[in-house]
Amino acid sequence: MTALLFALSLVLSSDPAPPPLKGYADARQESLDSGKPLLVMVSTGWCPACQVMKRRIMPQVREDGALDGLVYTTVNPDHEEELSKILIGNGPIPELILFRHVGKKGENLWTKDVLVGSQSVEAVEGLIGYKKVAK
Amino acid sequence: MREVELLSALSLSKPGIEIRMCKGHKVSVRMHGEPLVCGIGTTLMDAAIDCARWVFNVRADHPELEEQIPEVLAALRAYDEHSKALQV
Repeated sequence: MTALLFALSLVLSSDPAPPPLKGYADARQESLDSGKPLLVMVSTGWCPACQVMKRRIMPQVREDGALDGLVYTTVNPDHEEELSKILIGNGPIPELILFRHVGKKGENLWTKDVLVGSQSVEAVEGLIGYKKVAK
Repeated sequence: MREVELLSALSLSKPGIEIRMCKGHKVSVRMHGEPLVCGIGTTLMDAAIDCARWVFNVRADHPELEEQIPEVLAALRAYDEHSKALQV
């Protein structure tokens, strides 16, 4: 029994859950400080297309390593209405927004690229500019 | 054009496209059962229009959709005309 529990703990520890996401303000600040691009997904719990992105697409994008070089966060319009209006207006969701710095480090100048609606892993990785290496 | 009529027109405009009202002024669009996009306009009509524009404009290169675009565009134009009339 002890051996079984030990084996189970090894299996569980080898596949750790992704770290919890930072809130938008913290993620934005980290992006400013580090110079890494900021990827924001605007989505809600009631939107089926958002759930496809959250449960199926983004975990695969993370697993591929495409999120490694950037700061990723999510914004829920139901909870952060004003912020979401600034980000997407009344636009449809899910919406993935990639902000890239164009100014000096710490300077508040960004470019913005957007994907709207349910997307494939390849489309999201294309937005990020991630090129998968064949194994 | 009333909201329900527009939603119905959009849903009927393309086999496989399904536009549903959900939770207040929110709209969910599926194609062949796969979730595509959701609208969160300040009114149900705005949400539906927003989704329709996305489905039929951004993805207008989808061959299956092209045949049905005229009907959808007609519905959108009717909505735009209605909106302008309200603004006068």
